[in-house]
Amino acid sequence: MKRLHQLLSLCAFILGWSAAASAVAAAPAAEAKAALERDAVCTACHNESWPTPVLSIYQTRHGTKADPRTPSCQDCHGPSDAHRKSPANAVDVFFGAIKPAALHSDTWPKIPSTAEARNAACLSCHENRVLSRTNWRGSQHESRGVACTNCHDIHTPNMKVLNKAAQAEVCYNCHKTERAQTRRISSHPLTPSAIGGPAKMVCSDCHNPHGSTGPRLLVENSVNETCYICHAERRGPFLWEHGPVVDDCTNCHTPHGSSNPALLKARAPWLCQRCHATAGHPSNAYSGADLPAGQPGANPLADPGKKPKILLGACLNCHSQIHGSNHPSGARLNR
Amino acid sequence: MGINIMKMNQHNVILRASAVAVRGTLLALAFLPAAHAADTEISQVTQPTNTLELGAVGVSRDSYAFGNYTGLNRQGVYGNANFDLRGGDTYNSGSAQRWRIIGNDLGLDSRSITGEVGDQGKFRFNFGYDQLPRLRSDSFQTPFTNPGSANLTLPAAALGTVDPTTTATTAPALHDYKVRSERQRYDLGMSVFLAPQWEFKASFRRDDQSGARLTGSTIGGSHAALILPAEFSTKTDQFKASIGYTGTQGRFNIGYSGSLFHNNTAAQRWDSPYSPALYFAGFGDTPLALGQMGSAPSNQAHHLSLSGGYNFSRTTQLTLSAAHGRLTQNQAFLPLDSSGTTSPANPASANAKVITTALNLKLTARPTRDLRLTGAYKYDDRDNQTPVSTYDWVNTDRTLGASNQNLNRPYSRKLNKVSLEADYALPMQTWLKGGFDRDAIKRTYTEVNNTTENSYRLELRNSASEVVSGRLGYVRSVRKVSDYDELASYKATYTAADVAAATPPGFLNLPGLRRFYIADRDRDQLRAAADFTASDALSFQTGLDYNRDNYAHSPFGLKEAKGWTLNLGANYAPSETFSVTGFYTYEDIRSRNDGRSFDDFPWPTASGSSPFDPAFGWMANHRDRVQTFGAGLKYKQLMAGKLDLGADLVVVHGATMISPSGQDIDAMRSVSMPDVISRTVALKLNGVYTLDKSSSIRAVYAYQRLQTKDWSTEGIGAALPEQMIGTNQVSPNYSVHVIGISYIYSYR
Repeated sequence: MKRLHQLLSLCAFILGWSAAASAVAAAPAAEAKAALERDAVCTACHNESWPTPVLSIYQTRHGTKADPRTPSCQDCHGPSDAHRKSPANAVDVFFGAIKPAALHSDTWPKIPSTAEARNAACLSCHENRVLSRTNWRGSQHESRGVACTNCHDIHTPNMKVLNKAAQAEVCYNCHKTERAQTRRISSHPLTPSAIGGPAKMVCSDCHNPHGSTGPRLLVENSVNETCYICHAERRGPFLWEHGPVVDDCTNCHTPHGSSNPALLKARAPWLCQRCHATAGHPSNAYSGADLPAGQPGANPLADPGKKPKILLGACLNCHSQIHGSNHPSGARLNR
Repeated sequence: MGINIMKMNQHNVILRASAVAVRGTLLALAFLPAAHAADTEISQVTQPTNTLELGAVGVSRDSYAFGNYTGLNRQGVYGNANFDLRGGDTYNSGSAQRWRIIGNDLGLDSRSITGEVGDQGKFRFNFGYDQLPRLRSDSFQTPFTNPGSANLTLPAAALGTVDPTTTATTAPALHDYKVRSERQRYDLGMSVFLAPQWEFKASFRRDDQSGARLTGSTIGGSHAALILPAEFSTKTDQFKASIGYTGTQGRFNIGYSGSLFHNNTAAQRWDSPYSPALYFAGFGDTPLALGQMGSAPSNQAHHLSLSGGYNFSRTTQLTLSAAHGRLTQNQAFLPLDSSGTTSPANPASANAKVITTALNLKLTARPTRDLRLTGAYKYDDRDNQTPVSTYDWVNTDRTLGASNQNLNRPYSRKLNKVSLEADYALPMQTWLKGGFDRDAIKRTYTEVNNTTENSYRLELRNSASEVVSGRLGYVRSVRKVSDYDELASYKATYTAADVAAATPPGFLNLPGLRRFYIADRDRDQLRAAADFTASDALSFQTGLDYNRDNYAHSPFGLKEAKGWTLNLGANYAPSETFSVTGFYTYEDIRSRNDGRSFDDFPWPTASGSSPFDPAFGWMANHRDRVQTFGAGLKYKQLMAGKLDLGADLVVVHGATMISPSGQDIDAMRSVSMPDVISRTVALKLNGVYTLDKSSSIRAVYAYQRLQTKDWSTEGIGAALPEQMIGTNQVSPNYSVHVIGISYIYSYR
C-alpha cells in the first residue's frame, strides 16, 4: 500500500504539473479552426447523425486538432472529388467501414480499396512523420496483404486492438489456432477473467504486428530475448548452462498453450529423453507399468525406483535447475 | 438498415442548408466553450465518456485453479470497482493536453491502474501498476513446518527418519500448504519531442515477485527426491531510453536498455527427512542433515541499439538495426555442500559474461507495379566469454564429499541468415509469393559445430472476389548438420584424465542418439485458408494446417513430430445490434521417440541390457488431441434501446495419450500410460441495462467447469512413490458459478 500511495502521489504531481503548464500555454486556436474547416467538407454530411460514428474520431489522437500533425479527413480518404459531387460515387480510399450494398449504389466498389492503398494513407504519416513503422515493409503482415484498418478502427475512441480486454479477439480473427491454444490447461494469462476483466497479458506483449527484426514478429531480436523480458531469472549466464535453453526456449516450450504442464511440448521423462539417454535411468524405458499400484497398467514387479522418474515433476524432481545452475555442485542441474 | 442509410444519405445531400448549419456548429465549437442545446448531440460523439463502476462479485466455491491469474479463488463476495476517466482539452481547442486514467478489478488481487497525461506532439507521461496472482496449488501437502521459507525445517519426528526404500512405513506426516506467489509491476514512462522531428523516450519497469513455488530437490547422491515449497522473492528493474529522428526520407533511433535482476533468495535450504542409517548403504552414500540448493543468480543485461530506415525512392527502402549487448553475472558461489565444503581449485564465482551482437538489414523494392522484392540478412551472435574451469563438486549434499570434477561449458551460438522473397501480382487480385531462407548456425561445446537449414516457400493468395478469398502455402525446410560427434559434449565436460580412464566413457549418450535441435531434419508445412462471404450478414472461415518434422537420420531420439489443425468459423450479423459467432478447432499433434534401455559399463557387454542389444529397444508415441468449440452472441439495444446482452461459451476437450512399447533394463514390458484428460466449459453471460442518461446496471454470470485427470499428480501420497515423498496433490477439478452486479455512472 505504501508503494501504491507513492505511485499515486507521483501521478498527482504529474497531473498538477500538466495543469499548470496548460494554464501558462495559452495556445491560439487558429490551427484548430483551420483544420476543422478542412474537415467540414466531409463532416457537413458525415455529421453526428451518420450511422457509423465518424465524428468520434475527435476523441482520438487522430482528431486532436491542436496538434498540427493531425490528419484531415481527406488526408486519409483522398480528395474524393467525385464523391463530393455525388455521394453515389466512391471515396478515393474506401476503408470498408460501411458495406457498399447498404448504400445501394452500383458505383461503389464491392470491396474496400486494396490493402496497399489503405496502408499508403496510414504510412503517409506513420513512415516518415509520426510513430515510424520502420519494419512494416516486407513484414509478414504487409506481405500477406494485411491492412492497418483490418486491426485499427481509426474513428473509435476505444480501439479494440489497444484494449487489453479485447486485443486478442482482433488477432484471433486470423490466428484461429492460437485462439484455441490459449484455452488449453497450461497457458499464459491471455484470457480475460470470468467477470470480463482485462487479460493480464496481450499478444502485443511479445509480438510487434508492425514488423520486427525478430522471428515471428517478436518484439525482440530473438525468441529468448523476448522471453527474458518477463523471465529474467532464466537469463543467467549460469555457470552450468543447458544447451537447448540458451539455444531457443521453444525447443521445449510452446508459448501459446499446451496440454502439458509448464507449456511444455511433451511430458518428461520422454521430452528429456529426446536428448538424454546415458546408461541407467536416462535411457530406460518408462511406461504405465511403472505407475503406483491402483493406476491403470501398474505392475507391482516394476522397479520402484522408476516412480520418481515419471511422477510429479519426473526428471525435474531431481534436475530441477533445468534452465541452468550457478551452484558449483550443479553440473547435473540438481543444485 | 440499408434503406435507412440511403435515405439519410439522400436527405443530407438535398438539405444542404442543414449541412451548412452543422458545419457552422462545428466551427462555432472551436470558439464557444459554452454548451448550447444544439451542441449536445455533437458532444455525445466528440467528447469522451467517463465511467465509474462499483459493484460486487460472488464466487460459489474455493478453487485455486479457477482463481489463478484473476484472484477469484475464494468462495464469498468481493467488492469490485473499475473506472475509465479522461480529461483535458477538447479536440477543437488550441491545446492538445489530455489525460486518461484506467482502473480495473480494483477489489481483486489482479487489480491494475494505468494512466497517461500529455500534450500531443509535445510530451507524454504514463504510469502503471499491475498485480498478478499466481496460484499454483491448493492441494499440495508437505512435511515442512515453514513452507515458503528459504530455510525449510522439519518437525523432530520427521527429521532424518525416512527410509527412502520403504517410505510406506516411515513416511512423514504431511499438512496442507497453499502454494502461491504474486507479481507486482510498476511502470513509468515518458516521451518528449525535443524538436518536431526529434523524440526522446524513457521508461522504467519494476517487477516484484514474492511467495512460494514448488521445486524438485534431491540429496545424498541423488537417490531420493522430494518437492520443496521454496521461497520465491525476486526483483527485476528494466530501464529504456532512446532518441529518435524522423525525416522525410530517413529515420533512425539510438537506444539503451538495461535489465537488472535481483534474487533475494541466494540459497534454498531444507532439513533432510531421509535417514542416513537407512539410506542406500550399498552405495556408500549417506545424506547430510541439511540440503542446500542455489537459486537463480542475480544478473544484469545491458543493450545499446541503433535502428533506422532510408527510402531511396517511393518503392525502395533499406532498414537496418544493430545491437550490442552485455549480460553479466558474478554472484559468489555457495559452498559445495551444506556442511560448508569448499575447494581451493574452484573459482569464487563464475564471472559469467555473454556479449551479444546483432545486425539486421532488409531491402524492399518494387521494381514494377506487379512485383515486390525483399532481401534480408540477419546476424545474431551470442558470444559466451565465461571462463572455463575445472570444478570440484559434491553430488547433492552427501558425506562422500567432493569426489566429482567437471568443466563448465559456456555455450556460444552464432546465426547467419539470408532471406529472399518475391511477391508477384497475377490478375484478379491474386498474388504468388516465393521465398528462400538459409540459416547457418555455429555452436560450441555441442555434438555439432554447424547446422544449415534451407527453406523454400511458395504461397498463393487471392482476395478478388467478394464471395471467396483464400490462401494456400507450402514450406519445405531441410536442415543439415556437420559431422555429429557423439563424444564432443562428453570431452568438453570431463577432465582429460577422466576421458582417458574410461573406455568407453560413462555418461555418454546412447550411440546413435541425435539431439533433436541439432539433428538433420526435413520439415514440411502446409497452410490453407479460405473465407466465404455468403451475404453481407453471413460469412464462414476455414483453415487447415499441417506440419511434419522428420528426423529420419536419427537412429534414436526424436524421430518424428507432426500435427494437423482444422479451423472452422462462422459469423452471422444481420444488423448492427445482433450478431452470432461460432468456431471449432481440432488439433492433433503427434511425436515419436525411439530409445534403448541399457545399464552396463563398460561396453559392450556380452549380455543384458547393452546399448547394442535391440531387444531392449523402446519407442514412445505421444499424441495430443484437443477440440475447442466456441460460440458468442451479442444483442444490443433491446427493450427500447436500454438493454445490451452478450453471451460467450467455450468448450475444450483435451486428451494426451502416451503409448510406450518395448522393454526396460529389467526386461519389464512397457504398457500405455493412462490418458491425461482435461475438459473445460466456460460460459459467460453479460447484460447492461441503461437506467438513464448517466446510469446503468451491469450484471454478469459466469459458469466454469474444469475436469482433469493426470496420472503424474493424481493422489500421490507421502508413501506411494518410493525414493521420494509424495505431495497428495489432486488434479484440478472445479465447478464454479460467479455472479457480478455493478452500478455504472457515466458522464462526459
